[in-house]
Amino acid sequence: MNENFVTARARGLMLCDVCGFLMQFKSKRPENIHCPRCGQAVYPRKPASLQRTAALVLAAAILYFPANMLPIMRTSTLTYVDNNTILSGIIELWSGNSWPLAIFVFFVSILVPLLKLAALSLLIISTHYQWRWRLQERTRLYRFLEFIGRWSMLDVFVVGLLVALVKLRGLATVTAGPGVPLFASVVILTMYASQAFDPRLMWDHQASSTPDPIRGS
Amino acid sequence: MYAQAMSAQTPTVHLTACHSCDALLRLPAVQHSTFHCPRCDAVVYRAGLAKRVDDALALGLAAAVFFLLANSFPIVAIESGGDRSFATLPGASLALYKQGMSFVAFVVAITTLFIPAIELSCTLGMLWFAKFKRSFSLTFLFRLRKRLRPWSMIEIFMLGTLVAIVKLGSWAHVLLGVGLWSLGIFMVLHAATSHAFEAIEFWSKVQTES
Repeated sequence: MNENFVTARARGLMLCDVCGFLMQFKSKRPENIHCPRCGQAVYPRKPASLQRTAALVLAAAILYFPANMLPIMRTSTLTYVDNNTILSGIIELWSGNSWPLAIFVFFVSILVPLLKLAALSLLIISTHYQWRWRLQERTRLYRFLEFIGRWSMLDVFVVGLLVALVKLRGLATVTAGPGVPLFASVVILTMYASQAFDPRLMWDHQASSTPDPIRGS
Repeated sequence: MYAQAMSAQTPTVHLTACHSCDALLRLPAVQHSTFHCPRCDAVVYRAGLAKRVDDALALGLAAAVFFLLANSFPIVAIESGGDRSFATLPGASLALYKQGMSFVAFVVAITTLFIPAIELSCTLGMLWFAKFKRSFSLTFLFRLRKRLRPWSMIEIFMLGTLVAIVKLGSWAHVLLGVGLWSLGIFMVLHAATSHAFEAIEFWSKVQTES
């Protein structure tokens, strides 16, 4: 961290994020440069990264509340009808003596989307105001978000499987509730949001001098 | 050219940039383990399992067979009061579609069926081309595969199955199907194929740039 590094951009180079090819860009506004090896459109930094991330985070935050409050599943048997939200599904798991699974589902379905929205907001604000605070930790946080975000889709699959499975004639049926499409949208939007964020922007405000891998340090 | 990269020794110094902080870095000539960015600690390069195209191709073809099995056989079945019903992988999205949940059905079908299938086909296609000593002529396969990757969610579906089984366990007799085991084996083989492919890809990268 104490060392200073030369960035590829400072050397007029950029990396293709698909195939990892390192290429030169010459103009100040390098638009429509395609990777000579794989053909992907390449930019030194993701275009309009902070704006796009902020818009997607905002959209996901709006949908987050109805997604958690509306029922995701309706179980109907001969004697009763039961509407389940994400939280009541977790409580059901907890009281059914499968508390390790209940904790896991609580983590990926409730905490992760919330954590993702909070953390992405923090990353957007800290990058916008060019904070130099805890760069390495913030980068690590971003990587964690990218890794964990997909796992929130768990409940959507649970509902899908139960709907397909529970078709016992007259005895019991399971119907998907209006919370499911909303919840799936939250997961998709936050996944796009973390993909739109460019962690290199956080590092751009750090001073750069030596060592230089081209000239040798 | 691509296949030659397999046997050729890697050149001396390879220059790259960190995808996470844009630091310009020298990659050590021969990598046997993981290389982290000294500035931000991101993984810049990870050594793969297989060193030959044939190994990766064999893993990939086996994965394809298990994927077909996973889609043709029931994943789980329940029995209650003499009545029995089962669910398959395509059945999950079909049932959602029938209930008017077309968006959710689409998301489930994309993440558990189409994207894993497309991703594996792309990898197999690239490996096939590599085996018959053709260069990266199907670059769009390469791009497609990389872009689709985060949206392949088989492992999450597997865990979702576990949650569903636990939820049903209290009031119905749950039977695990051939589809579930096949899906598990597919998951492992698919991961191994991708991991092997990444290493091969790295050599081709070194080859092109030297």
